[in-house]
Amino acid sequence: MKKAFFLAAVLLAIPVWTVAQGLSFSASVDKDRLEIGDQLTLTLVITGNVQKIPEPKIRNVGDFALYASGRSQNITFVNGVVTSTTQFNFVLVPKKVGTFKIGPAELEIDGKLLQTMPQTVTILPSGSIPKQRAPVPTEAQVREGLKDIFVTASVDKSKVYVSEQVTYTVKFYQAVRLFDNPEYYPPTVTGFWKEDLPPQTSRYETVGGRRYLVSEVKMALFPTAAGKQTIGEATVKCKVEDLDALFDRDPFNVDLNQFFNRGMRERVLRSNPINVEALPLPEGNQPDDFTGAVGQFQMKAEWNKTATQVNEPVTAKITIWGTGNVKSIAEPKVSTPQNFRVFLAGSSERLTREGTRIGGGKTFELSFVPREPGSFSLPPITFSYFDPAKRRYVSLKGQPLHLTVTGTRELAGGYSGITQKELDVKQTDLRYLKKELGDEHGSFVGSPGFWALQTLPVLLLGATMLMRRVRDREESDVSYFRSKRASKMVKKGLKEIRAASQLPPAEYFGRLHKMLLEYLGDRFNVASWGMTRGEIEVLLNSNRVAEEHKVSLLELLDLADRARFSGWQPSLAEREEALAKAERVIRTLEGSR
Amino acid sequence: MKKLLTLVTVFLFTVPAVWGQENDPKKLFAEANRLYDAQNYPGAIQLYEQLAGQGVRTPALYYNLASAHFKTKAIGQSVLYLLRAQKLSPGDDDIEGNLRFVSQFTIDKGTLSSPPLAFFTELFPLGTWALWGTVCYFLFTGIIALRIWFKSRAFLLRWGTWLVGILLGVFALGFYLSWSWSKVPKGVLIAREAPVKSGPGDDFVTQLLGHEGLTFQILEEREDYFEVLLPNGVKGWVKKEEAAKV
Repeated sequence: MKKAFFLAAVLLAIPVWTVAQGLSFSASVDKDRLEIGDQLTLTLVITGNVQKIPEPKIRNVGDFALYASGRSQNITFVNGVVTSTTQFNFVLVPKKVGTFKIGPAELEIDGKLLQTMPQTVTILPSGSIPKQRAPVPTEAQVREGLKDIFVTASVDKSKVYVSEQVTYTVKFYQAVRLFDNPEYYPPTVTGFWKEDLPPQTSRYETVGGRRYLVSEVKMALFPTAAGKQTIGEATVKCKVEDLDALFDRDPFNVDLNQFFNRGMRERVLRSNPINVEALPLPEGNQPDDFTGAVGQFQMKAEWNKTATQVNEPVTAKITIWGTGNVKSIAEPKVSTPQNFRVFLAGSSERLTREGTRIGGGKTFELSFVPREPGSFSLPPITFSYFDPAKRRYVSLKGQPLHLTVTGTRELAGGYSGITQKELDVKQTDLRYLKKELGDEHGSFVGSPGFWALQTLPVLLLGATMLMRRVRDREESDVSYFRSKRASKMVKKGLKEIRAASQLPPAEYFGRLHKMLLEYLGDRFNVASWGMTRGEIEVLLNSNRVAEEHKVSLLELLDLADRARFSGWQPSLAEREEALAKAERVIRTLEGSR
Repeated sequence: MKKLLTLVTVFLFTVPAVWGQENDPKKLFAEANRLYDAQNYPGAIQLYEQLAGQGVRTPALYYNLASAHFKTKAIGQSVLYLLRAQKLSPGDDDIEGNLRFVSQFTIDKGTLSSPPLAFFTELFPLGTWALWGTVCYFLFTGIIALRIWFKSRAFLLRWGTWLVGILLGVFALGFYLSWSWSKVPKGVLIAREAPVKSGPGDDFVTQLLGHEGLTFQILEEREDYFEVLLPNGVKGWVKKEEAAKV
């Protein structure tokens, strides 16, 4: 059994971690078994280099009432790396007996979702967990404890009203050197709602003629039910100097643990449990609007307007602030005036700590929606609380509101509460029904056709740029332009010569000769006018025209010269043959580009 | 035997015809419209919903269903179906008009989108941004193409490029923001009144009470709850059974 407890304690002490890119997010509970009437603390710890940490979300709180119990942050700089540790505490009060899972808790940082493992907790009926008593210290321990170190616990009041603050103080006295920071374990506070108070600075005190360094821890407690309530023992663990042990030990002891811990002893100190008597709130003269607030409070109730229209809400902003159990302040009770609907439009809470007093405020926004026009007097907002110092109830009252409501009750659509003026002047009722069921497809916007349409201008722009580039090249590169033009011009020339077959031979072959020279000039970007046969041969050689094509071309040119200058009268067939040969040669040269 | 054959023949020819008539979407729609005109709004809703149950999803069906719900004073349902119709047919003037009209009957007022976004999303519907954005886009690329082709630095083309370019920028931004906004999941409160909780459970504090027709942005969806962002900037949790996704 002892082993099982030890194992459970170890498992509880090991938090469940979620690590994501340098961030860790862990959850732990201070106990896994508790009874009805007890409460447990759920602690969420986020560690990493994060500047702004949002509030974590707890997905499943089962049959527990959940209260946020504060947040603390610690930032460290190590080797230029900033590490922040943020701790969120939640108090969970069980409602039912059984085994429940709490969580997982979730946290979203920079789009990354961190999650903890759920915590399993068993809730037992009240009184089923035996209270563990501290082992009775030996006389020597007591003597030594009183002498060197000891712990005391006290409360500022032992008799309070339900929901009245009790300030619990634990003092740790030390007159010897400690080997390590003492570990503090707060007491169980079943039957109380607790709030941690700011840590106190250490100071020196003299007790029984001896000077002690005293460290204080304070906690505000609010009893949740009447009767005798017990605050458990606070525990402090520390390691103290033990010179006797240092010299008494066997110098040849091979136990390394003992060897390195020579001269120190671990001490567990427990404070005395404290009983607090919680008195019930007086019932005889309890005001009707009392909702359980205990403390010293003030109230401010403001109306946002004094005139409105039918169905248009007028809002009362009620702020209640002061010292006391702020959590116990509930929404003020208001009687719903006739012809009005009342609803809670918003609320917020602020908790403050002034010295050892817990305080703060709550703000409620109540909206009153008139159903009819007219002049109305809305009753003042009232709020009552119990003042434990005065031992009586105190009632606070705001100002009543004289409200003018304009507008009409009925409308074309059969609705009350909307004035004609408020309505869209172009529309005083619903528009006509659609007679056609229409297509099932949705809007053209966002459809594939819509996105395809958007590509058209890009294509148009691309085509324009391409064409412009081609044109620019033609205009700037004469060689390219002439070469490209050669093919077009020669085709046109051949067509014209074929059409002029009735011309005299000299003129016919003259045209053929000119066309061939112009083609060669354009094709190879040279001045064609007045080129000799030798120059043409050199040109064809330099452009690596195949021998047979070169010969054919030169033969054609020779034939044309013969017809032009020697009076040769070729037949029609010879003309056709010459033209066909020209076409073949040109086609071959074009093909070799 | 002859009688049996006659019966089978009658069955084979009449039943599919009657069945087909009863399930013909266009006829059902016309019948629902007739019931609406006869002020039998619950009957019309039943037929419209039967059509929706058959998988018909048209802006006209949602639009008419919204009108019928409005007549039965179900403001939340009316807003819901108008938003669904608007999602299918952004820019439809009738849908926009009825949505403005019905929204005046909701208790919780306010625009869902944040101020810079609201300016664009409320100035024009998505369809208008898309139409004028596309026109400017074609004009702009046309002017650029002309300038490239003619290598022109003419005053008119130069200033035309700037003017149309600025217009294109505005409409493109408007379209982008409206388009992104249209893709954000939204919901509508359909229960008459529903608490907006601080967490996904009954144990959490009620931050405020929402009323039917309250539209919200859905931030997260859980088994029983939506995490919502309300028009007033409040984040909270709403039970799924009290709301519906647009």
